[in-house]
Amino acid sequence: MPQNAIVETRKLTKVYRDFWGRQKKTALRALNMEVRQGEIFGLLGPNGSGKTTTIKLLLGLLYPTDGEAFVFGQPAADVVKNERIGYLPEESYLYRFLNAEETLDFYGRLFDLPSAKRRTRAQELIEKVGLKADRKRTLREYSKGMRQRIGLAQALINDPDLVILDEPTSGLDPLGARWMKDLIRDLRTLGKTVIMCSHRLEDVQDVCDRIAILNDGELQAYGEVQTLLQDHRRVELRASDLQLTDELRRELEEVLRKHGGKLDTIGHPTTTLEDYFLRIVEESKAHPGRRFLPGAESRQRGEGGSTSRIAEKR
Amino acid sequence: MLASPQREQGYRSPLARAAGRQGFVGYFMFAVMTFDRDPMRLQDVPAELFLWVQTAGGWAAFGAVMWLAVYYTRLREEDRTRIPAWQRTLFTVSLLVSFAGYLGYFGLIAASYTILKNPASVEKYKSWILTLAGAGGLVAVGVPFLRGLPPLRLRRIGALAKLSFKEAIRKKVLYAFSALLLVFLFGSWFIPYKPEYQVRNYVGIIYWVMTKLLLIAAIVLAAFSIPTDIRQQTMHTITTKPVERFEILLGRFLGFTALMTLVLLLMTSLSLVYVVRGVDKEAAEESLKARDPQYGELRFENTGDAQKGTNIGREWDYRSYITAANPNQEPQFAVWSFRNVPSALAERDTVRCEFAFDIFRQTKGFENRGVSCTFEFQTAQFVSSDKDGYNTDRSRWMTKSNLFVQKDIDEWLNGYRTRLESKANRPSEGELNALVEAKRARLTKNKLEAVGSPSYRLSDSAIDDELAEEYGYYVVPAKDITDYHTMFIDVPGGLFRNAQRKPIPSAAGSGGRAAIETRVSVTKQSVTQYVGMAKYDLYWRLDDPARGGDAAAFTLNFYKGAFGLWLRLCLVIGLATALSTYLSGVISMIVAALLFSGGGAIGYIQSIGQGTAAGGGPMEALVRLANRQIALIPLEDGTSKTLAEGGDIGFRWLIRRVLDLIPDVDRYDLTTYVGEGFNIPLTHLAFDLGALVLYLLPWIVLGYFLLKGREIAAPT
Repeated sequence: MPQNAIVETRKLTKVYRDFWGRQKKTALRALNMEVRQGEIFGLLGPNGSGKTTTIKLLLGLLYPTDGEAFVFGQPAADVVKNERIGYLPEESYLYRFLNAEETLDFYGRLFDLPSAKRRTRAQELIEKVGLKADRKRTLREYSKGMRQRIGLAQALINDPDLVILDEPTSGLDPLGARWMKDLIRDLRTLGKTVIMCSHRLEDVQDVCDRIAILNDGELQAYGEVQTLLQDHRRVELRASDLQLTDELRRELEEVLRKHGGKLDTIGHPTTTLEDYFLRIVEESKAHPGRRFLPGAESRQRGEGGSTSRIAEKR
Repeated sequence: MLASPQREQGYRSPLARAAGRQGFVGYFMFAVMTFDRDPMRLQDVPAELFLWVQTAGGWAAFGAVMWLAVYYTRLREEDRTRIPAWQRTLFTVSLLVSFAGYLGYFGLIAASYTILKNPASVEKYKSWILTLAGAGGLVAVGVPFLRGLPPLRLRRIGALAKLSFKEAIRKKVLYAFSALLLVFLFGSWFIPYKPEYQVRNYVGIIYWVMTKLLLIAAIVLAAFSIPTDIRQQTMHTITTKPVERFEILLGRFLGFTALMTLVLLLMTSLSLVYVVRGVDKEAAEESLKARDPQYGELRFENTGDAQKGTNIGREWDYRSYITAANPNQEPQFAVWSFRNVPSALAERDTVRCEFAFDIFRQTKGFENRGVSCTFEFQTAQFVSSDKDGYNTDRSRWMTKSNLFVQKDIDEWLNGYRTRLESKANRPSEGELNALVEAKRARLTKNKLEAVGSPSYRLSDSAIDDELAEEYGYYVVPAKDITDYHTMFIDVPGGLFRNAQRKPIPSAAGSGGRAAIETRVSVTKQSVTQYVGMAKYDLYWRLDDPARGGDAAAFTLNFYKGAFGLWLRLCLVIGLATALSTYLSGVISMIVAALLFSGGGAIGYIQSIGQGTAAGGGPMEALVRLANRQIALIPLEDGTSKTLAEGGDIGFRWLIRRVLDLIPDVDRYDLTTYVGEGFNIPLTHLAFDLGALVLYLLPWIVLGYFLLKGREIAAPT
């Protein structure tokens, strides 16, 4: 196992069989990969590609048909390694008859944490995931996003070195998703290693250092996100404090032609919808009573128009 | 196992009919314990343990072979090497020992039929070889199991137990128990007033309802918990923590057990209040008690068989019958021998002997009169030649109208001294003087001052006490016995003081005489009547009825009865939890319920497995069907008989293996003790607890391996 690798798989293979031992499906084929200490590692792939199977193999929920998986240098089936792991499943599979405090206390006890430490840690985490006001409500009263938050809290109850997140932003609104991504980045800052698998590629791109892409149980791509995404055939130029005029366009085309290239597009860049949404929500919070309505300002000026304007709520 | 009480004709309420074998009205004899088999004693423990090693070990060896065939062969080399070499060696050696044992066992059977021509000669060795083979199987399976125990942590088990507890409460499972309120509200409608039945009926109904409610709730909770965790994937969140799989099993088991224990305690307490408040004063005085009986060994004299009396043709042969002697016949006796009698009884004025017999009348008899019986109580000091002396003395002293002058006292003491000196076990001079002086002190205790000559008052009971102490003999010549009613004789404490003395050497011999014997015979007045009795129909009351405290003893006994129910709850919870580690919730529940129900019919299944059931096994039944033969007629010799019997040998073997899996649930049913007012001995509870542990242990070990080897996230 390489020195700074937390997780390593060698020809990891999983074949699902029926009761009689007959082969039903090969979920994972000879996966070789490693996850290094302190990085955020993304597992990507379409449905049925083997992402969740890989995670379950690493957690000892499944046993490999062939090959090996090591976590912290120990076989994945070893229970002791779980002392240093936090796991958030895709759905937050928690007991819904418990409230947030009881949930964290229960999982804290599973880590054999003493009572005082459990209490302190639970309070910290409840505040961290923003459920302080709802800590006495049972989980069956929680929304999906809230359950995802308490799920994350239980994954962090033991202050783990390795956090495994299966679809962490699933069910979260854009605010929640951003919060989750920030938290994942914070974990990296704290020196934790994170493995996440997600269908939301923009999330993975945002936070992951390295990724592995699986398809039909086989590893298709593996490496640093930046390296994998770089398009060496294209050049991107960004500028500010410029007016977009025909003259500028002509001159740029000329310069590019001189260097053997050609101009594909020129125009104002757009922000992401997520950034835009978050800005609107933030502004709404900053100015209570205002609403974002299409054409509100234009109507006030007696004009038509489709751009968003801020209107005073009457 | 407690027997099904004898069923007699009589009214049965709808509840009683619903209760099936535990009917309440007209079923039970009054305050009599009946036992199909003797309660377990300490000396039975080694044999039980040997049997357990053979049974559990056999299944363990079978399990180990299955593991080798199904699992180990599929195990990858790198996984195999993770098992320590010493463990692999131990496993191999112990399994080989087990195989060798079973081969030896079958070899011995073959040799006993072919070479030795005497199958009985190898019986002793067969048991030892089977035990050795079983022990091999237990080691093979037990060592990996024991290796899995050190990582267990109480905090984690406690957390999982608490979770189970909370889950049941918050999912409102406990609402089901409110059904008991129905009994509290309406139960008395179905309970007849007759005082002698009242406590029994109250106790019967309460325990019947509690048993059903609690067992159903326990089996459902335990069977569905782990499968639901796996189905809803909450198990994923738990098993990705440093939790040993066995902790999950234990946590679930302990959690549900704790919950059911609390519910049981609460229900028992409420029920106790209901019973105590519900029964009438008369019934309470009659039945709210917990007798502490000392049973003896029963033998018969002059009936042709020491183990049996006369057969009067009743189907249920639990009791044997004696009758008065016809002219030229020796009188028949039922004799109870009490080998050891607690010395504390010697300190009482009287010791109560209770009994309840069955009357079988050949003639109508006298109106309002029972059957007359003679009761003789004698110690190991007593020799039959003393009987005349006893009768003479008794007649003589009883005619004194309780007034004794000094001359009488001196005569009595001289006679006493002479008798002691003539005994084979003559006391030393010092002891003799002490005995005589002690007697003098007792005889002259109640002095009546009269001018010139002092006199002393001695009551009839004091005279009987002195004579019983002197001779080791006491007799009640004619006691009317009523059918199935508990009656008693207060025997003078002097008899027990006599029993404490050194036994007569000639009589002590090898094995010795019993400390006390009770001889019952039917008097000539009832010459045409038969009196039926069994070992447990007559006993000494070790508790002192004169001391009171019956209500407290009944209360304690009521909780002891609940302990029997608690054991059954543990049984179903353990069984269902262990099964649910592999099977789905519904299947676990059905299998656990079937095994538990099988326990109720264990006697019949045993009779099939041992080939004692009428009509034989399925092959024999098939032959009988084809030939249209009833079960009671033996099959005719021939090929069909040989084939039928041969086929049934295999079937019986299979049934006996199934029998290994079936719990002996009836042994935990202590209701009869409570209802009949008999104390449940603590040793009984301890043996039952031990039996439960031994039964559940293999299931728990099975659950351990099944859950440990299970891929929690595997698609189902």
